[in-house]
Amino acid sequence: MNLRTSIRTILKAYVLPLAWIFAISIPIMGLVRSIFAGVFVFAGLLVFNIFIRRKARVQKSRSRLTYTGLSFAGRFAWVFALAAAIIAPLFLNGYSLDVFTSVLFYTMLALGLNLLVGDLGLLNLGYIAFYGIGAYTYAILSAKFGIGFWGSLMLGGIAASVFSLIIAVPTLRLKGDYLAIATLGFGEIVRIVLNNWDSLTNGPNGIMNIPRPSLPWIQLSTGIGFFYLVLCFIILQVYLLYRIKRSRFGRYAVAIRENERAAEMVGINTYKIKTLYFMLSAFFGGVAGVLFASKQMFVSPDSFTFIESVYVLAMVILGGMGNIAGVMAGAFTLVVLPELLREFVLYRMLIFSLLLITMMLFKPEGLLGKRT
Amino acid sequence: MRIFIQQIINGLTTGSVYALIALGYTMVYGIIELINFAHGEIYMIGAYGGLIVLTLIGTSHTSNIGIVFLAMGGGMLLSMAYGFTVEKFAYKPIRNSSRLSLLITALGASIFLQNFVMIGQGASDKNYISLNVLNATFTLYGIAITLNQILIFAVALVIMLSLDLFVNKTMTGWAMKATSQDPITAQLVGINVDTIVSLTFIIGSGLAGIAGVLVGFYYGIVNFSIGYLVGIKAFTAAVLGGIGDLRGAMVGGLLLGLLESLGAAYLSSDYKDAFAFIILIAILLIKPSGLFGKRQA
Repeated sequence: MNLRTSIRTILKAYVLPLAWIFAISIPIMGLVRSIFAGVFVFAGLLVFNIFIRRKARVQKSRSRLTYTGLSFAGRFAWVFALAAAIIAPLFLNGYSLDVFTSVLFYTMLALGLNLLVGDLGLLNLGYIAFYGIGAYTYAILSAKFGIGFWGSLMLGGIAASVFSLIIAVPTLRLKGDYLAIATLGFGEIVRIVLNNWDSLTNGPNGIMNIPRPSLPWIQLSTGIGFFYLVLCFIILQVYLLYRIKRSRFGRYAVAIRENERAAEMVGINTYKIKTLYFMLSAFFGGVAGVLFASKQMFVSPDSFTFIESVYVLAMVILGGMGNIAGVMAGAFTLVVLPELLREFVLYRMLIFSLLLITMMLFKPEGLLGKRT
Repeated sequence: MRIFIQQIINGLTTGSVYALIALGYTMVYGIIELINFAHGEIYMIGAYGGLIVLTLIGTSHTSNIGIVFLAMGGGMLLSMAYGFTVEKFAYKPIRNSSRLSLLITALGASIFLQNFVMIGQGASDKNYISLNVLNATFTLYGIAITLNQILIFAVALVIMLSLDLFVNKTMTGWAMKATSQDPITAQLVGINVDTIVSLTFIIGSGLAGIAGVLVGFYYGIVNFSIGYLVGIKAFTAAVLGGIGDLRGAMVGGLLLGLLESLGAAYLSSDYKDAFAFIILIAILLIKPSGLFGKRQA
């Protein structure tokens, strides 16, 4: 390679993109920030070309259909995480405890969504609607009918499942893209209805004075008590998810994800399995919603916006689609990290979206990979 | 009756805007089968592009209609640049990966552009300069129609006709059609698919940019978050007309605008934004290939 071609290569690979990004950023960002944008792209290209392109990227996701049990390290990690979750709240102040409680909520949601995105490969962009339906079910039941927390818990989940049918029945027969956009539409419809049906939901003001759960002998109204309550639910949820995964249905789901037509050929009723998973996923969302409402003691439509759905989706993707431990790690990271980066609050979503894009580019199966 | 006709005029105005944006969705979907979530943001960037041109010109020429076209040109160019860039940097590297990855990348691109503009231009609303010419109102039997509305409708009509001619009568247009039918064969007969994809993004983005400027003049306000809802509605319009079909997108856009404005007038204005989504779900339920689409789903 002589000097001239190498100069041309460098120009084309680095200088041109830098100059282009700089030029188109100026009208929107102004001069100074545009320089930063250009430099950022330059650095990104440098990293890409030096570290990533050099290695031949032959990544084939090998997914095993058999469940091989946990390795020693895997078991150790689970025990360690559980111990940390039990001990940590005792040493946390009120604010940190709140952050960790919201880690638990997002974990529940991400695990529920993972059933759909990870196990079946179907995109749901309105998942937060089920969370909202669960939360509002409890709020309305307790305000209008005086039904308590424990009674509402199942009802919240069931309500979410029933509503999920509205969207599942028409769209699950279609290609995945349509499902994504239809779920998005559904999420928006739910939020708009919550916002406008004043007589039932009290509109944008939301519903207040939702009671906390109570149990004989055990104090649940404090932060710590509530934390442990949600933790119990997560343990139950993880146990159920593992059982589902190891069951016939779990294997059907993986078969559908890997090759839907082949799955149909061997006699799996793919539509039925998909609908079942959709309802189950909504059920978990609804239950999480009931818990959320009782933690906040207040619900309003603002908690259930589109961007929340994207957040939950990002947790599933970041940790590793289909991998329960990975999804939990993803939820933890995406809740705690923004708290640690509070100074960069303006750039938070920018970093978040770049993370999504680069993730899809380099490791679409998530940090912990796809395991079955 | 008067209200009815008034609503039809308003509906056709917003419908023209939806149609312009829906064209971009439908063209991109036709060629790389991607729901380009960032398209709504491209429209928003177009609105800002027009605003920037207006700010540069200043307030001294508010009676000159030429300003409108200058702003439209500015918005169009900026949108084209961003559409092109998004395709090159975000979509092209992963064009061959799974559909899920593509969709999520598009989602990421959309959030990125929104926040990019928010950081650069601030989170608060920005005002378009109100042009006296555009506010001229014609009244006929009590039905009011502004020059602004006529302009939107006329511009949309001219653009749609020329796009239709371009796609159906020129070599490049044929190449686009060929690529959307079968990219591999298109490549075999000597079409540069990468160029065609870029071109598709550039044209679609340009249309969205023009729509952004037109809406900027119509409502007088732009904000970094306007792209999301309009984007979804335009996508609904594209599905309504049959995604991948250009004429379908045009009709779908106008139809959606009409349904929305009549629904807001006669059913409930609170639920105005929900109509599009209900129509979307209904059309997926009844005829997923859209009004004019071929069976594909």
